[in-house]
Amino acid sequence: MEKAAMEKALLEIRNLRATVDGKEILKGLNLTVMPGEVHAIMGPNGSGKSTLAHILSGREGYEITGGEILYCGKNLQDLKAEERAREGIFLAFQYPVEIPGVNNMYFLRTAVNAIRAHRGEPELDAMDFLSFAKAKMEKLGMNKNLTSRSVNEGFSGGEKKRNEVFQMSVLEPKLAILDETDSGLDIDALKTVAEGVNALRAPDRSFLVITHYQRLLDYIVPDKVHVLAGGQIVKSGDKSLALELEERGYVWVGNEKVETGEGRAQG
Amino acid sequence: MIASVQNKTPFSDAFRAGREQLPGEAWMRALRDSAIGNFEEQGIPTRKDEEWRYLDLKSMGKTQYRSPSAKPQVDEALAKAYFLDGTLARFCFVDGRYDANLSQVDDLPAGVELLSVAEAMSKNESELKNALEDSAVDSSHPFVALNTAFLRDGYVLCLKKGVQLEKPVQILFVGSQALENCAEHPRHFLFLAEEAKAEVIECYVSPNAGNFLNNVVSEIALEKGARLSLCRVQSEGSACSHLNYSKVNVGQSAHFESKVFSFGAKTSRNEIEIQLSGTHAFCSLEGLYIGGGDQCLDNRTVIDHQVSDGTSREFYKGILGGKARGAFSGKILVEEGAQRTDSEQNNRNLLLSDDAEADSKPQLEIYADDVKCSHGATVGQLDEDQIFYLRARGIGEAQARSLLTAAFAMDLVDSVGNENIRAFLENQVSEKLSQEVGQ
Repeated sequence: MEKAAMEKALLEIRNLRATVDGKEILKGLNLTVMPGEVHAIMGPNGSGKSTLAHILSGREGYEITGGEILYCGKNLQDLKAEERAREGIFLAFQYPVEIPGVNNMYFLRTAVNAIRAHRGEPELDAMDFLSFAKAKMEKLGMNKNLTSRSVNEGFSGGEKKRNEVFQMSVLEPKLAILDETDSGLDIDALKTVAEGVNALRAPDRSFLVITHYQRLLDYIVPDKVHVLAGGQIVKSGDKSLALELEERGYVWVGNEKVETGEGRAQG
Repeated sequence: MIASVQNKTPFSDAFRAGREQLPGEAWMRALRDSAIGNFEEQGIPTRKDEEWRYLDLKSMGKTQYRSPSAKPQVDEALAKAYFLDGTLARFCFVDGRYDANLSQVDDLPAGVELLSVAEAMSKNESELKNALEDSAVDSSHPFVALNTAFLRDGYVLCLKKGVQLEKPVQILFVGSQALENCAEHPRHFLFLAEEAKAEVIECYVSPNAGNFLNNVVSEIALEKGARLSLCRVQSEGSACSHLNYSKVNVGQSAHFESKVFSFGAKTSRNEIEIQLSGTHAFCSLEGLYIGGGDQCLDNRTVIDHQVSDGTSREFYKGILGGKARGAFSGKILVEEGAQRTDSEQNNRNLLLSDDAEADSKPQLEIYADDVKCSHGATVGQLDEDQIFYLRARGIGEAQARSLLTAAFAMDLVDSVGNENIRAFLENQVSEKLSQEVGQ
């Protein structure tokens, strides 16, 4: 691999400011993610974690009032949500949406083909896709009956999160954002989800793992840990920072800026 | 004798001019004469009439409808495009007249009678006479009266006791360009004796036809334990009017299932009146109406729980774009003594544009005290969270919308048991949706 290419940042967020309904949530956030790195973003409720995830994914309803986001050197703000996905950004939702009537596999094949069309690759037909997806499922130890069901409909919390990881493995993103993927999971489900994520770690794939608790980071070991509080990264370190946070609590990082209520980000 | 003219309608002159050419014996002529009088007395309904408030029939009053040609030009390719695989029999009508060449009735088992109304009339069958006379007694419905006055053809399907059909019967109505300014009045009779079972799919297609009126009336009776599944697909040309009225008597422990798919016509009305006349009778009425442009799709159902232990299920869905208007009015009547009635009604509408309109009117009249009746109605748009979820996976917004719209429609299709019918319906729905949402 060329060394020069590897050293280019995949994601570079510079002094990002963003508001929701006129209220400032992100207040000058800086973050650089290199290819292949796993970054954990931790922080108390209302610190702007989910807002960051949503803004990166292209969700509407946020106003960027300052700074910039560069993804592969390109200004991310110019791209619509679907264009970002086709360029390799994947958001694993905190609350995966149920879509009755849309078959899970049909949905994924449509997504894969949208991405392939964007890359100028030929579409996969139903048969090709099925064998491709089944191999991924086996790797993740997923229940095969999830394929014949509608997207997330009637799935348990664990099944929904696993389905997010399955989608991630099929769509093969460059940047995967895990928005509180651990929330609502028991320890076994957490382990399976983490194993799924670990299996996807690769030199050309970066992860942004957003979480409230250190627990998930026992299983997905990050290269870097950041503490987000009051709309800014207030502390960065390696994986030991997460343990320290767990021990001493968020008060320790000394943020008086912490606000309550995450506003739209939770909805 | 011709009854005195109360409300002169464009149909009156056409009736008098064509009366001698209409088929039937003296009893039929007498029925026709009294029926046209009945229709004139009632007149063409207006929107001031509560039962007709969602449908604008003004243009009907201004059209001088003719009778379709006795020698229709058959567009075989069109008809064949709608032939279903895996059917027991196919009964095909072109411009309202039975076409033996396009039909296939060789494999009917013993105990099944399938014939055209024209043939039944020419044989002067007493059952036909009785059925028509019975329905004339209380034809408070103007278009049933109009149908009786002009009726010429249709189909009769009778199953003897215990006869159970394993494959569906297809009834196909194909309309051509020659129907411009014509009115046809098909009349169907379905009779299932005790423990008989049938599945029927009726298709009404006339993509190239201009302004014409298709005024269909069906009379259906199910004896004890009989089961009928009736699926209707209406994809008539965009300039025509399609009126479809059915009266269904469901006897003891009998089972009636109806699925109505309304896609075509400028103005359409689907009306089903059910009498659950025997204990433990069951009916399920489902409908999917998809409209765009300036289409108006009206649905009216009446379910009369006459005796105890009846069950009714109703689920109608509308998808409306452009300036289309869709309406559903569903009346549930639970008569005194109809204890332990179990009834559910649901109407859901999806609006794809700001100018589209959906009306929903549930009506419950309950005169028994031990009943379970629920109803619900919704009118909404596509869910923005669902759209975002799809977009976040790389699916473009337009495609996301059409995927979700199809998902809204398809559950009524997915529940169709017969594979061939289901595949046919999936195609029909996708085709209609691609016109309305640009899939």
